[in-house]
Amino acid sequence: MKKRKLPELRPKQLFILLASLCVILVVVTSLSHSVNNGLRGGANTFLMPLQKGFNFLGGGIFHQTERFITLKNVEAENEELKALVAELTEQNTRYQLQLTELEAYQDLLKLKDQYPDYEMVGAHIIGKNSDSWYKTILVDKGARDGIQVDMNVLADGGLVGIVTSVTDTTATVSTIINDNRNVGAMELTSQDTCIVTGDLTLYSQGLLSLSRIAKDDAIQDDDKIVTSNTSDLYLPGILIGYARDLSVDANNLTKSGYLVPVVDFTHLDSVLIITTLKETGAEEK
Amino acid sequence: MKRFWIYVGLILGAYLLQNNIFAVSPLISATPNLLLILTFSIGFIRGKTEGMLVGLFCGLLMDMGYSEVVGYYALIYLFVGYVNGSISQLFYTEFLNMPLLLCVLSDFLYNVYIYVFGFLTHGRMALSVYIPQVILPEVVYTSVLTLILYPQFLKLDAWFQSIEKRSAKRFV
Repeated sequence: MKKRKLPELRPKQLFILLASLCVILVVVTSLSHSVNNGLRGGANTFLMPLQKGFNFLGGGIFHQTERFITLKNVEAENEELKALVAELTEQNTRYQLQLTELEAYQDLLKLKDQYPDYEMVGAHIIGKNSDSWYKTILVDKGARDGIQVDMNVLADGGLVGIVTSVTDTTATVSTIINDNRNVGAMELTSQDTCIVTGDLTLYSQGLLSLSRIAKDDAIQDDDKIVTSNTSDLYLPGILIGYARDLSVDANNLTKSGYLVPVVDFTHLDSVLIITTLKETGAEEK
Repeated sequence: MKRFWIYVGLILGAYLLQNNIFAVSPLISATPNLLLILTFSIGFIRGKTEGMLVGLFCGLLMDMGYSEVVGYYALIYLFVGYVNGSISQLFYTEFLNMPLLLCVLSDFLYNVYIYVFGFLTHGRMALSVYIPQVILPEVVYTSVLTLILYPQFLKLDAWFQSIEKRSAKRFV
C-alpha cells in the first residue's frame, strides 16, 4: 500500500520526514501519558497473544535446560522457601514499620492504620528489553485489569519498579535498576531519608547506589532501606534492600554507599502490581 | 506485496525471539540484536527506502513494548536503515567480510546513540565501563548471528527477484 506512493518522495526527503516524525513523537509522548498509552494500544493488543506464546515456549525450553543444570528437587524446594521468605520478609518489614510508627505516635495522635494491606494484582513477565542498556519489562496485565501509569511493582517481597505505560492488555514496567531511576527511600527504624539510584556500572555486581544520607544519620551497613513517606511516586514502607559499604562523601556533609536489592532481577518471572496510587491514597484521607 | 508480508513476518519473528525468548532467559547474558541485523541487511541489500521503512517498523515495535516514550528506538533504527542504504550505493570491499563490517558499524551507531541520549544526558561518563560490559558482548553476539543470517537474507532476496521476474514475464 505504502509502496505505491514512495517513488514520489526521494529517500533523503523521506528520511528527514520520518526522522522529524520520530522526534515529534518522542516529545509528545514524553509530555502526555494518554497519548503515550494510546499509541501503544493497537500494536500491543495484537501482539500480546504472540508474545505470551513465545514467552511460554521460550520459558518451556529454557526451564528444561535449567533443570538439567541444577538439581531438580533442590530447585523446587528452594522456590518454595524463597516464596515463603519473601512473604515473611514483606510482612516483617510492614510489621516493623507499623511498630515504629506506633511507638512514636501512639501517645500523641490516634493514628489510623497508615500502612494498610495494599490491593495487589499478580502479573507474568512476558518480555524484557533485549538491549543491555535498559532494564524495562513487559507484563501481561493492562488497563483492563485496573493497571495505571505510576503504580508500584513488587516481587520477592521487595520493590521491582514502576509502571510507565499501559495498554489494554499489557503494561511496561521500568525497574529500579534502570540507570535513570531514582527512588526516595528511608531507613526502616530511624526513618532517615536517602536516595536509591539505579546505575548500570554497578548492575553487574548486583548493586544500586545509595546516596544523600546526612552525615550524622543513623543509617549503617545492613540496615533495611524502604520507600519513603516523602517519595511522590512510591508508596511508603516497601522494602528495597540493605545498605552496604557506607562512607562519608568528599563534601563531609553526606554519606553514600551501595544498596543490595532484595529482588533477584535476573530470575524474575512474575510480579505483583499494587493497584493503589500514591496520589489517590493521599486524596482519600 | 508478497515482499511486504514477508518483511512483516521477519520483523515480528525477530522481535518476539529477541525480547520474549532470549532476553527473558536467565541463561543468556547478552541478547543479540536481531532487529538491527534485519534493518541493516535489508538496508544494504535493498537500498535506502526499504531499509528506512523496515528500520522504522522495528524501532516502533521496540518503543511500543520497552521504551518510556514512543519514537526513541524508531529514530536510531530508521537512521541505521538509511545509512546502510547509502553505503550500498557508495562502497563495497571484498578484502573484508562486508556484512560483518556493516554489523559492527551499525551496532556501534546504535550503542553510541543510546549512550549519548540515554546516559550522557544525565551525567554518566563511564564509557570505559559501558564498552566492555554492555557494548562489546552485544556486538559479538550480533556479529556471530550476522554471519549466519546475512547469507539467508541474500538468498531470500534472490528468490524474490526470481519470482518478480517470472511474474513480470507472464504479464508481458
